[in-house]
Amino acid sequence: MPKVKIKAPVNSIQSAKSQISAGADEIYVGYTSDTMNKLCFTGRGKSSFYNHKTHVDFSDLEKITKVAHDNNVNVELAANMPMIGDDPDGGARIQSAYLDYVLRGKDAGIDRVIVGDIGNIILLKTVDVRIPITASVFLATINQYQVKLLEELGVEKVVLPHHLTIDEIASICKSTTLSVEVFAHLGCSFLEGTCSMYHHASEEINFGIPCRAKFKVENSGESVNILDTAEDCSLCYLGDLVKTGIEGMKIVGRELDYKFTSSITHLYAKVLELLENDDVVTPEEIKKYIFEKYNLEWWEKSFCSQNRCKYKITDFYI
Amino acid sequence: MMKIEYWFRSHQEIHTVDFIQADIVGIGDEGCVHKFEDAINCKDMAKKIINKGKNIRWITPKVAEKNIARIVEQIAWINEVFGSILLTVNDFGVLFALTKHDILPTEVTIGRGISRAFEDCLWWDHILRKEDEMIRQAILQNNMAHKLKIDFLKRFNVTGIECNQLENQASAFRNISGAGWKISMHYDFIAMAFSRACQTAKYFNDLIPECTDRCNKKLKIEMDEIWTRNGMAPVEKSVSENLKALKPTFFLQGNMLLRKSGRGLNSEVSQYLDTVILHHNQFKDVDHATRVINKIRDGDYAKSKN
Repeated sequence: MPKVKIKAPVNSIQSAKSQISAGADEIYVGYTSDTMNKLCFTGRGKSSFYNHKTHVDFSDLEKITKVAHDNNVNVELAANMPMIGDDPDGGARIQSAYLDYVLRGKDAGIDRVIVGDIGNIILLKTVDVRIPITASVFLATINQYQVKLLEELGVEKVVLPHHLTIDEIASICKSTTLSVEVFAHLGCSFLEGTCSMYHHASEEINFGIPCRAKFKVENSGESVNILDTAEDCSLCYLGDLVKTGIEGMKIVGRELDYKFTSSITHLYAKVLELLENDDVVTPEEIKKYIFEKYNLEWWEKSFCSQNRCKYKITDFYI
Repeated sequence: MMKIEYWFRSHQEIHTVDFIQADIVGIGDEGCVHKFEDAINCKDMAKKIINKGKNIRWITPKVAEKNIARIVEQIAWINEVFGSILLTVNDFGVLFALTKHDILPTEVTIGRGISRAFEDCLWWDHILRKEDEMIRQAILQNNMAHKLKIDFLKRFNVTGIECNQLENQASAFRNISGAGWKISMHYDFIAMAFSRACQTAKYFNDLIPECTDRCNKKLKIEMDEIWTRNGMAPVEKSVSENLKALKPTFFLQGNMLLRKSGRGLNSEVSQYLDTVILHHNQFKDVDHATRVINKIRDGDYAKSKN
């Protein structure tokens, strides 16, 4: 079984080096373009509310690509802004700017481009950009027929949303020759691409992560995280996950401190290595190993004690 | 003249359509396969409605892998029983599956699970205010205002879209209708997000799929504390005055999150509409629904506020 690759978020040269050192096999990154002032083509704003830069300058993209390639790590360009169409007057200026963004990324040496809109997949194929395309999670691909549609469109990899079961992921992997990637760590409550509670979009009001907010429920008056169905951690179930046939796992967090996300990358890389060597097999063995080896009090508090496990509880999946 | 579609969530209430002056009756669901399957059980009622001269639209949601084969079979069955059907599709995979199984209806509408706009977001203005005007307008547009998508989807017999009731879609709708597609606007309640994990079932600890009546009514929720992460540990903080000013009140309906437009129809946008879609559960009673329908039919848009 081919090794499952870990794809890690990058928002600076330093973060690229840190992620590669932590064990990332692939990195994904966006760069700043002048087309928009606060947003950009990468599906995020240029900064988070806490002013963490989510992108790099173009000159840094070239350096990051070189560092990555020197370490046999692939680079994916985030070009997955989900809503780009024709100009209001029917023209194509914004599409031209998008195309330019992708082509400059290609010139910088990126290996693949992440696309979040079906029209943009068609655009890149129509103009024959000739760079492998990853179908972003924004396309909300939750069944094998959509995967087959993406195959016909010439996509090479698909990122599946959260809230699919292990069996469903296996069924999808079996149905396709595309590379299939899932989310390893951190998650959303709603299907990306259908959710319009935008955050990390250079906002100046702190929305937090809206789907995890507390809401007062009219019927009962109680204040609860009623929308929160996000699942965050899949470490214990990596053994089951790798058997599904996935080729990649993605760590989220271009808007986060890279030291935080690198630590997550390191843990996942370590567990995947142990699984490959059959040093651990069951969720219990995985958990025992990582908690004995690392100081993970914060992990236990943030994820385990709150049952934020992926692939564990699927009672409320439709 | 503007057509009226009237959708039912509670299929037990479909008989009230006798009292509603609608052109098309909608059954099924944008969000949930189990709600869609509820509608399948109403085939006798559906036949009665058709015999009375109204048409039926079947609404299908996004469909996860474990359900896809079953749902495709059910759509095939509907085709067989009813002949040519009106179908709303919210999943590209469903569209592709119907094509591969050679059961694609002749008129397919793209639903709100695919047809989206940045303006669906409650705080769109805050995020876009520092963008140049052309960029603002371009990003605000419905994502189907895109010739490449329209040309691609025509091969799947797509003839139109559904959309939310928004204010800044005139140029998008001009372009979409100019390409020959019909536009159907959902009245008042804006679909903001769809989930595979049902928040309503989780909140009430319901057993899926026995819960299909639970979400016939919307659950009103108001943002009380934000959840934010800056570093390793997340924190909950009170909602700022700036955020309160945006009135973050939403409605949870099964696995769908909605917000109210709260305005009457905008005539600049409405000129491009073929149909207005009303939902039975957004009205107090049949009289209320009838008043709103009459105002829409009379073109009294500004006063058609719900």
